[in-house]
Amino acid sequence: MAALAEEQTEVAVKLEAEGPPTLLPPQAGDAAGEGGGGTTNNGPNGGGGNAAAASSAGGDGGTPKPSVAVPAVAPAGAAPVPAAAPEAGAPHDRQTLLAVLQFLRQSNLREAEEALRREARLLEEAAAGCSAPGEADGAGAEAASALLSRVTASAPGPAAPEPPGTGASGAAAAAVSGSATCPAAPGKVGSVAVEDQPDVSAVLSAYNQQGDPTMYEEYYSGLKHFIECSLDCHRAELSQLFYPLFVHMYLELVYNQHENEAKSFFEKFHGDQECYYQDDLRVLSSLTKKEHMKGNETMLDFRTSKFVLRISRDSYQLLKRHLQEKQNNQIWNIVQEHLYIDIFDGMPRSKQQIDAMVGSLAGEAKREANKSKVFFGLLKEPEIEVPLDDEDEEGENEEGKPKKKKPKKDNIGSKSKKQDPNAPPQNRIPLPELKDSDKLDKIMNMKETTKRVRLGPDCLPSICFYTFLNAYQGLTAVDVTDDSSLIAGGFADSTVRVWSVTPKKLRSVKQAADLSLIDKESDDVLERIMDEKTASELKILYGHSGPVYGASFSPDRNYLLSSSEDGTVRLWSLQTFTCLVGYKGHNYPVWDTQFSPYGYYFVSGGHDRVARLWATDHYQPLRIFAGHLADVNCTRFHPNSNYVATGSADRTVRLWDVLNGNCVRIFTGHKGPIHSLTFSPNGRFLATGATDGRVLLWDIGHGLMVGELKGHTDTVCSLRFSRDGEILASGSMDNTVRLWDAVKAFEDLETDDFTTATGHITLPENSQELLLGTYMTKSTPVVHLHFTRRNLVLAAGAYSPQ
Amino acid sequence: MQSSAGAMSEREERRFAEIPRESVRLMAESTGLELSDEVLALLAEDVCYRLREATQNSSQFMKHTKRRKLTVEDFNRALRWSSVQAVCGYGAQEGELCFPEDREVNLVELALATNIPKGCAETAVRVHVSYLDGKGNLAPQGSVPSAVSSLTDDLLKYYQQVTHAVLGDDPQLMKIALQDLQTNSKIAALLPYFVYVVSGVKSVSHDLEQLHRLLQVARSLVRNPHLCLGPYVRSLVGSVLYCVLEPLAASINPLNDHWTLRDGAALLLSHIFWTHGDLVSGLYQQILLSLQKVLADPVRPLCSHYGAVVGLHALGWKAVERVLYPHLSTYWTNLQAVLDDYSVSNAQVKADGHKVYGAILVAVERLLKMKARAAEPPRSGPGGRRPEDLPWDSLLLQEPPGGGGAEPGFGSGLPLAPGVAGPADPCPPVTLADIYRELYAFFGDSLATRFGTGQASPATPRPPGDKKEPAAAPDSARKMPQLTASAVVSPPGEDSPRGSAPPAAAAPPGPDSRPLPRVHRARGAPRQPAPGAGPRDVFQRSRFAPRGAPHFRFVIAGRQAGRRCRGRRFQTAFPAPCGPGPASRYAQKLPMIGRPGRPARRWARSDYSLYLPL
Repeated sequence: MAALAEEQTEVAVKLEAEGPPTLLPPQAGDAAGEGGGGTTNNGPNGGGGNAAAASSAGGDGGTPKPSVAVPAVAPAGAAPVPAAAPEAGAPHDRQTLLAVLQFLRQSNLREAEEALRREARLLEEAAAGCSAPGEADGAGAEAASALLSRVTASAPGPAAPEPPGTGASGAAAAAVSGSATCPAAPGKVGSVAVEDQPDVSAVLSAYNQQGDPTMYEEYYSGLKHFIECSLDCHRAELSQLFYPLFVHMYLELVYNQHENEAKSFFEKFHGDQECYYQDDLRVLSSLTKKEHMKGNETMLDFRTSKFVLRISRDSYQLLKRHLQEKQNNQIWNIVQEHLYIDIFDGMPRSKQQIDAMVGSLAGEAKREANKSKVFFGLLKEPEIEVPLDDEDEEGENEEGKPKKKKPKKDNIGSKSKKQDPNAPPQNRIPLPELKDSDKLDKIMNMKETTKRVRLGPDCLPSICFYTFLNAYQGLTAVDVTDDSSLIAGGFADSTVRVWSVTPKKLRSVKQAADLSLIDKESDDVLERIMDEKTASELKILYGHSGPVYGASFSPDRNYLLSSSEDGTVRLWSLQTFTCLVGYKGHNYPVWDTQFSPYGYYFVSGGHDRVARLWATDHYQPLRIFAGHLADVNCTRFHPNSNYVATGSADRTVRLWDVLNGNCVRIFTGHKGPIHSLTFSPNGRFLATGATDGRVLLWDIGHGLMVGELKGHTDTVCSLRFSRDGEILASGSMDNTVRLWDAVKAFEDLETDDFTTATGHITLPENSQELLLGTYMTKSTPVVHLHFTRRNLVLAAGAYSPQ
Repeated sequence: MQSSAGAMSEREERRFAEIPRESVRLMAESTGLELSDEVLALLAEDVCYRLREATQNSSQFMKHTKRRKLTVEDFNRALRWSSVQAVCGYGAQEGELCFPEDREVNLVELALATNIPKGCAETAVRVHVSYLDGKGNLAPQGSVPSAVSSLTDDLLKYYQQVTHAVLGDDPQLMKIALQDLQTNSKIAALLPYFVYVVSGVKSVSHDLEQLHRLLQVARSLVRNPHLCLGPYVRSLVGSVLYCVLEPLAASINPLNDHWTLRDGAALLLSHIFWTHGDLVSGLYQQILLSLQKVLADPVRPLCSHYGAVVGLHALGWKAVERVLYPHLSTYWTNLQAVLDDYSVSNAQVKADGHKVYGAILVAVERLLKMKARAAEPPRSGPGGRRPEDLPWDSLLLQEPPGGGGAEPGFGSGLPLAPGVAGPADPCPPVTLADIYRELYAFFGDSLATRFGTGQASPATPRPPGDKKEPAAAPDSARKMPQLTASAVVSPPGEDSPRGSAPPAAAAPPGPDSRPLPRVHRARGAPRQPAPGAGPRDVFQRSRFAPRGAPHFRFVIAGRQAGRRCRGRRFQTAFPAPCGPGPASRYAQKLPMIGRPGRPARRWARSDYSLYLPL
């Protein structure tokens, strides 16, 4: 046992010591070589020693806890630990760091300790200089893989921009780092392990001090009385306190083993809580013993992260005065220890305003969390000459020298030709170069664009439904290629099935022996390499060992990604219909995956509460986006590929910067786990759908909620904007597709300075006006939606007789 | 304090599933451990908590599989991810009870079996343009769901086997197939096909046997509680009406018993109407209209008319009152003409005429009875059931004594043929007495004897082999297929089909407010019922007081009392040699029409007509 632990730690330490630049490139080349070779099944093997180590480290959650503690730190060495280090400026972080160091020393992990020490000092200096982002940008000029690997390794940089200020914001940073550390290590196992160590748990746990357990009810009802008697304008704001106080008081009682008091406390007050906290309350109510608190995820969320409340200064003063008057130290302690109160100046918010924003697992987002600039504009499209007729000449494009032979095409690509002021620099992140086939596809796309139906409230799209028959309730994921020629389904029986929905059948490339016989000079060599014997309209891809929860086609239709319960993401070739690579890293079910709109990169998110950014030729992730407090349910790339949005079961949506791994937006307001996401085609807006059946619309630039679409009665499984962004289609488990007027929804946005500054939004109650149509299926949940290039809606789902 | 704690713990228990200590103790003992109560309690509580936790986690897997039903797999996954061994064996989709079934498998049989069970059907994708330009699809709502319309192999096989069995030679097989049709819950997808098969009646109108079988298919479909007939009701009704009304090719041959077919079809018609009438609006009106049309068409053969009459009869006495009664005067002329033609060439037609006559008689008899009951407020209430009431009577009678009853309104929907229905008021308050008087004008004493004017007729021995004796047997002994049918299908206590609102203007049979312009008083009708007489007394007393069989045996002559008969004297001569033999029993059923002076022929024909019992 000890040997195993040591060995794994060694891996971590080595990674640490060797330093970033040398860490990835060799492996990258390794994976790329094998991946490109296209031979079957080399993915898992190709992972080599490192992949195996990673899997052995996190994969066996079954081993007794003490030993698990070590692997928890070990694989995390690549990112999370350093991620915590830079914030050492804040006192809390120093404490965390010290605790980790102490732990390492206790476990006789000298090397790791030294490395961490070295790193920490180094980073403290770095944080002072704060040059990490610049460094990253400079590196951006270099080759793709080199850049990204460096940024990964220097991931410590990211958090630096957060102003390590005084009091409140310092605590904020602590909260962030605390939450970042735990989930980033392979999930809860790590956190649990940490808790087993008394020293560390002393740092994290704060439930030790306690008052008289019998007084809790009195405290709470005293506060309740105070809040209910306060002025209307303050009452709504102060009512936000109820839920977090209730939870923490209950947990304190449980932690200090006052089971009966805890039960009666719960019985008495759980009815006062807002209905959208019901799910969490259910979890809480089953917790009645201290032992239960170990390993309970919801529990950990409450203890590792501060609940964020936004309260006006007036209301806060009122509360403070009251608590001081009453000498109500118990509650005051909780407010100080476990809550983060984001105080703003000005009018208290109304109940509606508050209700719109609350509901997430850890309260609202802090205002400063949404302040950083986001380049939400689209990248400039490369110039491609569109042959007007059947000229088969390909437009040679060079970004540097725009050729404008035919002014006619101007109207098509004009919007992307001018540099969007909000767009990121073209080479902010390295993107793959266009291949000839990509250019051809773009030309096709433009041709289709000219035939596109202009949608609007008076011109609704037609809907084609792809029904999966005989799926036996096993259809879990669907994707359709951009040109709508292929449809892929992920199934609970671990298979991925690809259908051709055009008359063109699916064919594999011939075997190597047959390929050698082909005349490589002939014109139709691309046709000749295909094996006519394999033509069929369905191909089944076997390889996963658990339900396939996510599927995504690459933009060039050569690859397919699938993510599964078995913890892997697999890359399949649609030329050979074999698995090329298995990306291991999540170690827990991977709920979703998606290719970047430019290919090459992809993102995945899973049960381990992190989203990971990968490149197809790296078998390890380039970025780990950690911060969500619960499963990452869905992941989507921004159309400009510079950002990734993730929706989580903690009822928040986060937007991450691909360049530096920062979380640049946190959107709260959903009242249930988020299960669908989509960006508007212009990149400005984000639509998210949750289990509560509501769709929320967000302005990315301002970081504000701008709309709420009510109508669905069950989980919104799929969202998609029409190609020009006029219509938003939503598909749900309630067996309907609904179409919403997106133009109108975004039209009269009041983005005045005040709203932007305070983040106080007042949503118009106009869902019914925006709803353009509701379309029923017989008995088929709508799992996927897609707009063809001509704006025909394709919906997909499995027929499930009830 | 104690009580509140108790209440709380009770609520606790309701919130979660609890594992009792005993279970833990049993488990412990099975592994050879002795545990103290304290430990048991702790363990039980912990197990409960772990269960709840696992359930919570498993719901995540359900959500991501886009299901609403938590499966055993989901739970096992949750267990696996929390490093607990999955529970094996509970793999069934529905989470059925699992027990080790250790059957012996005959390998030889399995190896030689030709139909090796297939696995599940292949997963497939079908595309369907659901909404065109945001508007609903062209296929009408309620058509077969596209997902179902492509039949699986198994369904197709089932369809073929059932149709072969039903139309094949093996009666046993047919029975099984029909029984399965009636109970199988998984044949919804096949419904349109079976309805189509039933509509094949039009192509086999020469084959009584096939018609019977197709009707039975229809009956099974109607009775299957799992099928939602929906739009197919109309098609089924069409097919059944065809059997009721059409002059089938099979009826050309007098030896074919197409009458039974019509009776059965009428029965089925009323069944469909009573059970599925609410699915199609205006169905009742449509049926009545088509029946009326046939009845009013003198060109139609008598067998069609017969069908119309039994159809009306099966639909209930209101239908009879609504359609048949106003038509009777017109129709009577034609029927009388047929019955009065004694030429040999007319023999067959006349026999048919007698069938129609009998059918009408039965229908109006019930009409009168029901009217009588309806007019009898204190005794016809839901509670006041008389002991001698037949079940069908009581069923039909459970309506408010207001009498208008809950039969579907005819008011607006049914355009009765002009000039036939007479007054504009679609539901004229006709008193029982008036109806009786008018009917008596047609039927004379053959009607009167049926009521026995208050006295129970003595039980008459039934003619052997005559199963469907329809006529003037005593009430208690009568076996009328039509009547029994009504009794079977009408929901107790409700005289109207589901979904049809009772007519607003249900006129109770009031005092004699309406003069009878077209009713000629029968010349021979000597007694007028005294005004205000009890309903039983309304019926004109038969001049041949039916006091048992012997009376009828010799009652053979009289005066034709119908207005159409112009007071002809008649004599139904039963030759003495026949005497008290079987013929005497027939006497009660005999339509008492005839002509004095032609006794011999009269007998022959009456006798003949008895071979085609109603």
